[in-house]
Amino acid sequence: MEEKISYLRNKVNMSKHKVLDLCVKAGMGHVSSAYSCAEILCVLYYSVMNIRPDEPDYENRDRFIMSKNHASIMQYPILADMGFIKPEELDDFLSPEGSMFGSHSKLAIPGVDFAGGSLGLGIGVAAGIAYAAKSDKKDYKIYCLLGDGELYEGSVWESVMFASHNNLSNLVAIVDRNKLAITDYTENMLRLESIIEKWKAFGWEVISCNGHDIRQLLDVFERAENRKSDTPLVIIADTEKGKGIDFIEGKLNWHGAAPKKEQVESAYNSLEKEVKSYE
Amino acid sequence: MNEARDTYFKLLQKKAETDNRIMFVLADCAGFVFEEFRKKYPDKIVNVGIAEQNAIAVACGLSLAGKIPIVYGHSPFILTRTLDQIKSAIGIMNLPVSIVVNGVGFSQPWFGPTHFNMDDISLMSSVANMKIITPSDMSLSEFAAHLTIMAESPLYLRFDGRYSANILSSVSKSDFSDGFRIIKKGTSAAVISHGNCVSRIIPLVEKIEKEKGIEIAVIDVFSVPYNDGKLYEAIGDSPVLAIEEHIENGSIGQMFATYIKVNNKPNKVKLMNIDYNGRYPACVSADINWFYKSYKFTDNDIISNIKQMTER
Repeated sequence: MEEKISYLRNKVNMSKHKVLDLCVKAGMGHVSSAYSCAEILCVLYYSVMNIRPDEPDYENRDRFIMSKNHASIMQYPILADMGFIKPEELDDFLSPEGSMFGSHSKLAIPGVDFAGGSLGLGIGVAAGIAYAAKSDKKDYKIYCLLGDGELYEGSVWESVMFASHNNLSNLVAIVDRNKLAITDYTENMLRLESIIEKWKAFGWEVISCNGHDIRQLLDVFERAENRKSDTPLVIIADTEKGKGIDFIEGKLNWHGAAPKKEQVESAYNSLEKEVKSYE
Repeated sequence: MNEARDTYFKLLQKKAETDNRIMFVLADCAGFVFEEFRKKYPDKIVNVGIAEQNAIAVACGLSLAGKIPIVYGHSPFILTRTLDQIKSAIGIMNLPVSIVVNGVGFSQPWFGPTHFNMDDISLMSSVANMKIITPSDMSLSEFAAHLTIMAESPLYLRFDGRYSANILSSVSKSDFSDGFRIIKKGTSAAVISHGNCVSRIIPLVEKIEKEKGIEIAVIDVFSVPYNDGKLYEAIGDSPVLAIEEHIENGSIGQMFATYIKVNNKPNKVKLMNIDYNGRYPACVSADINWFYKSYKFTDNDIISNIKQMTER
């Protein structure tokens, strides 16, 4: 277990460094949103999901729907590291020559199952895939990552109701509960709590965990894999937006922004400190 | 009973008996046409309730998992409530999802202004990769069913409810490849239209022809996009009148008028659309003639406009 955690921590560090590299080079990018879900994505991609880099469209692969797709930049270093795309293709990020990357994933990127960007949409799409999988008696799972801010979208709750009514137990939603939207903290802007009770009321099984704690994430995904239930499952992952860069972490006004020139060195230093804290 | 819509659904239901890819996504909208099918094949129907946004999202997911989803919802809500979902989930990803509505134009006058669907071609033609089919008879319903099965891109199918018989007795599928069909030829003027208006226009045109001893072309432009170059070839330099139960902005007539202007063609073009002009239909009435009269869309208005076009 310790070896696995260490392996995954290294992948998180690699991905976060690469995301910072890309965003600094481009002068933009959703660093803070990406950092709140770094551990979640690394645990899913490297340890949980049944996927094949050499066969991205493998029919029985687990599906990943990135509903909070502004953070999709965190997927790219992982996809490159796993061999879905070539590492050098990452250099195209946000460049006019970029064949693959816009500000969001497109279906043209191997390993990407959904081109998001409009919030409140991914969970319904994931529910549709889950419905089809059940209908075809396929046993793959569908993982959907939502931001907490997108829970304001009414369409989310249409889909949440649909999933439980149809017993979509093959659907696992993860809410990246970083408590920050663009302009304000969620509980200041419009209270979201109690999120757990809301999902329960809609008929979902709910597990909560620390979304930066790899051990906890491994544990909840293992429980998700082994559970026997007719209901869909949601994991409420408590996170910090911008986790790892001290002047961004949990701070307002960093949504969609990259560190400025004079802040870059400090950002990298902060990341190094975080790496050392886990050694 | 809506024969054109029902023809479409019955053909697809027949296909769905043996093709497990076909699934109907209903937003609490079905009609008698689904009664028998629902009893036999409940698993092929996904009824999401009055939740149009979820209907589109679920259809997108079904499509990504290899299904052929056909979304049927109340018009216009399945389009206007969900425009972002259609644009983001279906258009941008270019997914073969078919969206079907019934009750376009003034075909459901009793429901009042919130239920009128007069701007749908404008909205759907702005969605990336979207193909629109606006059937004027059952042969086009059959064509629409064929397209749904074969689709590799999004489809929007707008049924009306006021027509039944085939306008042309013998048409092959190849007649549909350019997105329009010539109902009758003529050189004095060309009337282009689609949907219910086509069968309404034909006897009015024949009346004028008899009266004036001229020949007027009637062309059914049932698809967007359509082959505008070939449509121009078919019309030549004749004056063109476009008649549609649709607002002018984004109408098929306006699209063709743009083609004429951009390509410096000599044709005189007139558009006959529903002009709300600040007067959204406030009356809830079952009498369609009230609407025709209010919006200058009576048979006499149509005749008058056609006659004007024939006076060179």
